[in-house]
Amino acid sequence: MNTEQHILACIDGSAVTQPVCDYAAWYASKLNLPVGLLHVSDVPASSRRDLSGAIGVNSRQLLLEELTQLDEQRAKIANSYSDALVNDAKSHIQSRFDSVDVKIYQRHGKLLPAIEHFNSKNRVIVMGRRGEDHKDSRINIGSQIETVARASSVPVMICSETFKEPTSYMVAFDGSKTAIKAVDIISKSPLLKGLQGHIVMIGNDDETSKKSLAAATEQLKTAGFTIEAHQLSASNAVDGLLAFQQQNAVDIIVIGAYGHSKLQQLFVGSTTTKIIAKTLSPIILVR
Amino acid sequence: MLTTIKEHWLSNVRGDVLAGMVVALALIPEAIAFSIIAGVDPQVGLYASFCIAVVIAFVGGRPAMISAATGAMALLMVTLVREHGLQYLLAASVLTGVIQIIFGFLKLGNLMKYVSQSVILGFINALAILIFMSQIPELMPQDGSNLVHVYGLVALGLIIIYGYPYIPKIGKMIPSPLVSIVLVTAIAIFLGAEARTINDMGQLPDTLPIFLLPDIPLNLDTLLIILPYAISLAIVGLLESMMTMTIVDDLTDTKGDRTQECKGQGIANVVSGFFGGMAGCAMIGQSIINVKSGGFTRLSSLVAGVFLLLLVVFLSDWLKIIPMAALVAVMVMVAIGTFNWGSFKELKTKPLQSNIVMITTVAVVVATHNLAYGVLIGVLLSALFFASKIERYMSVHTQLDEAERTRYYQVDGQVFFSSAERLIESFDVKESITKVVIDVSKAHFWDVTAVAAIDRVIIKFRREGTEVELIGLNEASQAMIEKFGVHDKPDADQSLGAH
Repeated sequence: MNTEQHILACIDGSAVTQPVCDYAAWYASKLNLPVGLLHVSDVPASSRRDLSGAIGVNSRQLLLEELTQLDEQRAKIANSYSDALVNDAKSHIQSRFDSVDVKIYQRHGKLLPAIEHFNSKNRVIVMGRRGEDHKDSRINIGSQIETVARASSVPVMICSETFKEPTSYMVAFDGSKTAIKAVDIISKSPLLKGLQGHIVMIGNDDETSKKSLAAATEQLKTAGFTIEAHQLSASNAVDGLLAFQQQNAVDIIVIGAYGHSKLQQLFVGSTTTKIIAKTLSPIILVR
Repeated sequence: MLTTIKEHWLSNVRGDVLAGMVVALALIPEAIAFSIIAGVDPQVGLYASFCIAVVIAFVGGRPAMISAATGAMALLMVTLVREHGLQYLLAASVLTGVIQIIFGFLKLGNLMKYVSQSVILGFINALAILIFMSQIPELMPQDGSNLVHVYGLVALGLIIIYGYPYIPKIGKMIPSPLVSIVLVTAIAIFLGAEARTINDMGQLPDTLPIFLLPDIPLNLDTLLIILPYAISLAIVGLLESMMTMTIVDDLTDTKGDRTQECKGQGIANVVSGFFGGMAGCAMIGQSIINVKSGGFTRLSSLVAGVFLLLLVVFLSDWLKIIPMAALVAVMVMVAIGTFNWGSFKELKTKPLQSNIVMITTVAVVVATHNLAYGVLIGVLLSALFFASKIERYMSVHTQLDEAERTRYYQVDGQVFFSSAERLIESFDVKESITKVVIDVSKAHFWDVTAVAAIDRVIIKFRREGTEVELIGLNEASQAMIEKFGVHDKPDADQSLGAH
């Protein structure tokens, strides 16, 4: 296995930081890879309130100097906050998963470019359901998840608010190309091997879909996974999947994410986004 | 996409709206003053500033940069307006925009890397001097104005502009140029000063701008009239925009998109031309004012444009009574703020050559009133100075083997057009020996002149009856040959060395 790779855990100091660390470490222990702890400080450029509108001798140099000083002070505070955060997270992981190696990455700017900076090393990206910006909001899903998931070429894991070592998983399957590809990717990863698995299809009561469900199940079984196929009927795919998950107390939902283009989604909506928004369980989005 | 909109437009609403309003207030006197420089009615500059500021807010490549009618551009239009009139100027503005859009697609914005720091400094200083010089006619004796009154009002205006921000609390809440204009106008009216007002300069807008095709014959003659102007305008506009962009990039610690900005400037000028405005570009002074006032996103530019138009259309009766002296004071402030005063101090510490580049750029601009010529000369000078520095990195060492009657020459360093002559002179062809060995494996041959030079040396030796052996030409000429594609031909050695 490529030792360069890592499980990228995106932390921001919100309540989900600990579960993100835990799930990333769990993932890392399964894949025998290090965890890359990523914290991004986004310090917006300093603004000032001087509406005098007058520009005098050397105003450009003076203004540059002033803005640089302001930014410098704020960035230094942000840097020390970031240091404290990643060190806490590192000791948290090492206290629970002592076999997992932890690497620390701290960057400035936005989350997405920071993730993309490590693109060649990222094996999986682990994120919280909602971060610092949405602490008190009623929205169930943070603003960064979809942006990151769409831009990512590797699986994205969205964590729950508390960590529980997963024992079972379910794969949402609809016979589409995205879903078949997702099954293919799952079958090649050791992550879910040994866990109790379900592959669930809602509706799609035609022969082709049934065949592809059977084929997918067979592929996973051949690869050594414990898996049961379920063909359920429900009026709504999202509700059906989540009802199944609740009844069977499934820990992790795996879905092939964002099969539609952004434009298509404008008209048909995204099943992926709906599932992420409606559940509190950890989800793995397979790209 | 929604996040981008949020970030580019709504991440700093309060700061942007306030900064936009400050900029709009500062734009009014400038737009009027630049219209007067170009020789057109104030409404042409005001419509241009509105159109350009609003359009660039959407299509520009650099958020928080302010573009409008500018002095650098206005100066290039003077003869066109004088000889052919306003309609040709509008057509030239549209053509300027089209040329800039083409430049944008050709990614010519990247050529900015050839413009050195000294040239940029020269450009900025020349621009400040031009803005200041453009105000001198207002300070000359004119009909209907008393020079003492005019000078008094300008001095008063400057005192208010620079003094007002020091007043506690209110000093930083209202733009001081605005305060200055209002107070100077009030005093001028109260004292009955004999000074020209904006009303004497031409028509002010009383309606929103409307779409109009320039009223010109669409034929080749027209094109030949406007094309030279449009090319100059396009180049100067992009130069000033690119330089302003570097400044705003530094101030805000973010990076703008040069190619997008070229296209954006082009689109803005096309729109401006069709709505009765002149061509414009980014403004260094206004962009600094914007950032200083807390503007960071595209919203500030949009607010500046819209607020400017509202003010002008609804307050035009009030604008008319402003004395020109009040505007002169604002323009003097802009000139002082644009000039890089540190460059005087730096004259002592910077190398002579970069000082020569800077001063030459300024001198050429002041002499020609065309910033493009200044930059062109500045870039050429920088390149020449660079060549003359690099040519020193060429040396020839020699050693004589008396027993074999053979002389070894070892060429090191950079061989190109400027060092080629010295290379030839380094060989003593009149020496009577049997053989010379020239080792060029440690030299770089950069251009055809360099290769021709070594050819000439070999021919000279042969004519003296000396046998010549050339070693390592392949390594030496790799740099040059990469360009001319000879290196991958198997006979590269023979074709260059077989004399």
